[in-house]
Amino acid sequence: MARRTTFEAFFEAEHRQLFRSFVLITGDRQEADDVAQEAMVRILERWDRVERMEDPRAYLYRTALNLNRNRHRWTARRRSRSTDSRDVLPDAADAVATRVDVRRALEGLTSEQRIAVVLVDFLGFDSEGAGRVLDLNADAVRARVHRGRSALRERLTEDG
Amino acid sequence: MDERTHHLLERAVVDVEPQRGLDDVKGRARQRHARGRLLAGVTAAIVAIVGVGGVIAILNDEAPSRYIGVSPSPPDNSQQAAALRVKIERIRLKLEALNVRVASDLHRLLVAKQDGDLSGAQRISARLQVERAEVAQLETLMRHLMDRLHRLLVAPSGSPSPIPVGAGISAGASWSLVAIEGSQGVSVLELRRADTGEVVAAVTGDGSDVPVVSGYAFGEGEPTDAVVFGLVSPETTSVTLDPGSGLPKEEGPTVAVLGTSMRAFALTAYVPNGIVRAKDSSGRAIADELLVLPGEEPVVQLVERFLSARIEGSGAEAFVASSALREFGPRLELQPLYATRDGRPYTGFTVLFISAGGDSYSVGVRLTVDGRQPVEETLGVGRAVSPDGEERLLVNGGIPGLTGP
Repeated sequence: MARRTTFEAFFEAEHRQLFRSFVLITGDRQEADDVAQEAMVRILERWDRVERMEDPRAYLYRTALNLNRNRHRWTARRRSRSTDSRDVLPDAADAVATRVDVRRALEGLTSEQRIAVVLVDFLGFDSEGAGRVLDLNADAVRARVHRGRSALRERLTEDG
Repeated sequence: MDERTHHLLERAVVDVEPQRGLDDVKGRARQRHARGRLLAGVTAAIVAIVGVGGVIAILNDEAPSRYIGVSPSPPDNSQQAAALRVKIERIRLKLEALNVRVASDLHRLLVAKQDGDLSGAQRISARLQVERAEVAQLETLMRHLMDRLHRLLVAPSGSPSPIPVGAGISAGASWSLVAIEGSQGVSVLELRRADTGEVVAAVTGDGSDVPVVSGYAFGEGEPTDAVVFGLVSPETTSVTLDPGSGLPKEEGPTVAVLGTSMRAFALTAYVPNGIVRAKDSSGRAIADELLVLPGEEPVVQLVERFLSARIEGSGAEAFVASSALREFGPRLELQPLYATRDGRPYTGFTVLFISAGGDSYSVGVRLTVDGRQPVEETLGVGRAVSPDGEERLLVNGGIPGLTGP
């Protein structure tokens, strides 16, 4: 039985991590902020239904990924014409190198690999749970995560 | 989870914080809500200008209070009424959001027509048709839920019990189809999820407007399993669903409901759209209804075997107006076609569907339309204000199953 909670408590528990996930997925803090807000708005509008779900968190990420995909369709052309518009994250001096390296390495992954790695290795979904978010079976998720991790390490090694 | 990768990712965003908070989310939700209400009025104005009356009239032909939700009085503490109110409010929000899309598309259609962008206008028009179907379905569901709430509040005792008509499992979800006898000869069919009891789709009919059809796609993503159901006339013994696009037809019998003059049917199908055709005991088609469910984008393309449709008057003018045809699933669609004759609408005229035949044109199908009464159920005729601001004859609609010469 799903545990009932308030939307406010759900927001408090999930919003920050949702935002940070999409910083990793999109590489753009503004875009991540937009997606996180819109996803939470949709959840709020459907809260009476979402709160009864077995896994509201999976539904949240599924909603956010769909929104991001739709946004990307509209903005892809504009972005391809512009120079890199992704903003620079505020850095503490000693963390800059690692942060930029990881972000650059993530950009080298395919979108599917990046999302799978973030769901499993950042957010802690197991393969079955990530599969429910992505509408994939667990084996397909494992394959994406495996390839994503390998590509990530390879790129970090190259950069290092 | 791989700890090393987790550590790397955590460090990459360790001090990154969102700029927006809970208040922003709630404010944005209120903004979306208010925007939908505002544009509902704008839509009515645009409809009047563009003259696509049939497209959106259903949004405007009822008092706006139908969509304002349910007032908190009279007092009622039942959970059932509360649940109904929540559902009604949710549908109202959907309608308002849809209204925003329709208003935007109507504006785009107007611009495309003014720019002479035929293909753009066709694409937008196709989208509007889908939106119209979505509006119709939501409106039906809204009316049904309002009726249920009314029965609950006004006559909590003696309400009719639902009678099972059919049941099945689609995409792993159990469903049931139940009939409820309403007042004044109105029958209601509800498609319910067996696990939650939620009404996911419904139709209402009083026998005068059959067939009425609806459907619901179970499952998310691909593949989905659809249930198509509805009310048909008493002489209908079987119903087919023709989804077009080379997909197999589905066929099933009808059953009597509640002793009324209507019969009910339910079909399961791969796709939840197409032409629903009612047949009598001899197998003759006696009625058609196009079903397009929300989210199902139709495949629309210009029909090469037909060049155009055009209106010919009964007077001296041989050529009045023409429009390209397109294929909308299994049905040919006529773009809205405006015509005038000395500033007066025609009272007798012929719509010609013209196909290409070498250097000469041959007539494909000829329909004679008298006054404002359509001779085909799906061919609408009436007066409208065209994009150039003049009152003209308007013909639009489609012909199911027309395949050309």
